[in-house]
Amino acid sequence: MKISLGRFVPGNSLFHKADPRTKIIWTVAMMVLVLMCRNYVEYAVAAVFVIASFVASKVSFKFILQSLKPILVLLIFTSLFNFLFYRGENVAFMMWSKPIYWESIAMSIKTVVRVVLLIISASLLTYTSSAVSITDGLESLMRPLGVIKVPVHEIAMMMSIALRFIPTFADETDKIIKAQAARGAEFDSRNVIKKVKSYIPVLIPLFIAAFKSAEDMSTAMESRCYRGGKGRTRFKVLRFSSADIVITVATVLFAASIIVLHIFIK
Amino acid sequence: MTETEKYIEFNNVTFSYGTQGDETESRKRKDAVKDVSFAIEKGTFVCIIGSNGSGKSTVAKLMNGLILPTSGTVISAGYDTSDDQNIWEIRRLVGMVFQNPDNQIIATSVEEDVAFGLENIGVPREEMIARVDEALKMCGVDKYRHSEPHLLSGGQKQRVSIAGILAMRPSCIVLDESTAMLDPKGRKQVLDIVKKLNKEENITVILITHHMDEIVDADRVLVMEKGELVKAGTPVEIFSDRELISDLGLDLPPAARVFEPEDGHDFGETVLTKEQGVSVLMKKLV
Amino acid sequence: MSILIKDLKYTYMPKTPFEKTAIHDISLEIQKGEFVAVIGHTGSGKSTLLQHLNGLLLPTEGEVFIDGEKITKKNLSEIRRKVGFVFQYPEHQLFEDTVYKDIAFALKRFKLSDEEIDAKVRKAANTVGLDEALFESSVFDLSGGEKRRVAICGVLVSDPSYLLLDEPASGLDGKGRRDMLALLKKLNSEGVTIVLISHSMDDVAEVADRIILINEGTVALDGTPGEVFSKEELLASMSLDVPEVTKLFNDFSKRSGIPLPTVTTALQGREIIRMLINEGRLVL
Repeated sequence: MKISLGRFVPGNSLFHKADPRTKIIWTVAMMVLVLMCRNYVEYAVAAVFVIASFVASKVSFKFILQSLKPILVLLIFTSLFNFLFYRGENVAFMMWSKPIYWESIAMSIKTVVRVVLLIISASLLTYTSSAVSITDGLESLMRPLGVIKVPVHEIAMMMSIALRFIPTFADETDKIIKAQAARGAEFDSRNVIKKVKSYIPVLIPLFIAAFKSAEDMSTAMESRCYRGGKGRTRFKVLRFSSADIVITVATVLFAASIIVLHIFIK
Repeated sequence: MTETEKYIEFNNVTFSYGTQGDETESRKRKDAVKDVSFAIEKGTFVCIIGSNGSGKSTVAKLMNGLILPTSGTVISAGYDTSDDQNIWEIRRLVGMVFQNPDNQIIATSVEEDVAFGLENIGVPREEMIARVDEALKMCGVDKYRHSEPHLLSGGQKQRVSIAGILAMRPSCIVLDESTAMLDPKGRKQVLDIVKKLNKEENITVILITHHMDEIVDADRVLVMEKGELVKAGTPVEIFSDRELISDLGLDLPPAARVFEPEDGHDFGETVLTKEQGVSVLMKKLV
Repeated sequence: MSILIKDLKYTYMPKTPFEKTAIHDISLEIQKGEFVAVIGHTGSGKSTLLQHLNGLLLPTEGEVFIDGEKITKKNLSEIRRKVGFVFQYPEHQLFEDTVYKDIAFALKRFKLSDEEIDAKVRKAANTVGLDEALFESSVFDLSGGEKRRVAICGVLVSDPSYLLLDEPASGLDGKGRRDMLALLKKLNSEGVTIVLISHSMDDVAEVADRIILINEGTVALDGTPGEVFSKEELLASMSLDVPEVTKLFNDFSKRSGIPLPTVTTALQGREIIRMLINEGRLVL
């Protein structure tokens, strides 16, 4: 069974080629810059940059819509609240004999744009990088924390083993559910308590399998001379490429323009 | 026989679980080893057989210091396994492949997994790349080098595990029921590789199995029962010991079952493989 | 009374990029009381086929009937009572804290008295040769062979007329394997229809009356062990072996020029040798 981890869609775009560290820093930078935006000009610049990035990532628009969907309801609600309870000075029109102000419309638009831009930026990271490469990127970025005794290597090893086992356990769960269903277990009760209870015959074998795997795994690692991060060399190294330079330069220019606009437009 | 020819040596080895007092009753019951002594010569192909729970896996884990004897000594690759200083060198030289293919692949891609051991012993990256490449090719899995392990078949996974050990330049490989969970094709591929490594690279191979057809080519077979070593000898010696076979409930290889000297048809030779069977029949042909 | 499969097709994850047709164009009937082995290399679709026989998978196209009744979403509970399925690893189903409770698990959904449950559990345990002294032990302390017995027992308590098994003997040692095959033979002689998947051609030749060979998702051969294993080259082209004994006598027949029927078990091999001795062609 092929299970896609996270939402990674393989590809060959500028973003796919970039180093995960660049993409992680890029995402954080985008968050900060989008949240800094205050006026329409800044929003317009940010929107253009995010859309340009989106085009450069060659991620299908369908996928972006998918990640926006769950947030959409939230957006509609906040806008509605804004309309109903915000008191401004310039009345735009009346709705159900309640005044709707220009200010609240403007605010709603800004909120929507802001959230949409944030989500698109974050989606670009997860759609163009595998979970494994994000882990590698995080490990590399967190390495300086080793100085203050954060067990960076151990955390990264744990994350990587967890990622490695997700598909294995998904397969295992499927088999256990079938084995129990075959001897009469039913999982489709409408009663919540009954439903939770019906999964006990699945959870127990799954936990036992997980413990067994963990035990086997630690023996296998020990047998292959694993003794923690000390003195270890790395097979996989992250390397920056021209894609990273392009993204970095573009982002620096974008950041500069936002900051300049921030200072000059009051 | 000089000292160096003995590659692995068990001297009156006893191992019992539960010595720390925290093991459960069930663990105590199985897999203990009692006063076992044997020596395995360098470059040989040795099989260990015995029923489930006879202590075969415990013997395997004692070989590279994953567990230490309660009493007696285990000398592997010339080092005493209970001496802390040598433990990593022993584990590098005596590689181990386990039963469940899923529970021994650590990394998220094939080539990274093959590199795992090398990373642990601190091999420089340039050399690591060359060794990983070589090991992948030797085990015939280089075309999967970028694959995610869970997409491979059981046989492919086990070959990846062998490659991971091979990259460490070992002089001995222990396979602890590594073929038990494989289909016939995967089993054959794994056996072909270890036999090749034994012949061409002079790597000592210790194969623990209960598939009797896997042991017919072995130089030597050790038979375990209830934690004790009950017999050691060539496959022919083992399979001609009818009493032992029936006492321990062992299977005969399929071809041997045809030539069992029961109903008065004694061919006077122990047949283990189909080739031997054909030649015995041809000899008796009128 | 039979399992009847009509034009069966099953597609995994239809209408997605991962869409894959696992089996197609399968029509066959398994009569009550048969001992059938389904063989095929890994990924041939034999496991997908087996899962259709008790509704663990429902056909994408086609129909499956158990004793004349079509399997649908609505009658699964009844179908599964009639058609038991034992998976390869007992670890996938054992979960209760004692052996007894685990065996009784399948009976929970029927409104039975404690006495009735007890009678059924004991009867099933007796059938598989499980020592009642183990009833109160933890399922996790058992040996591999015992675990498998408990797993089969947990399916047999519902008195299925059909028993499906995925690799029932794999991973067992010599004695465990022989005991398992003998148990299946015994169940079959008591009237239970057995359909099993196995990779071991030697085991299959020994126990099955009929072999269904699945290749690339459909039935490639269907016949007695003698018929199926007489096609050594065809099987090899599907990366399958014939039993070791079959190869032995094929080679011997070729080299000696003596025409021989297809030999599939050691027992048949011994009979052939006896015959050749009686005919004076072999002298010991």
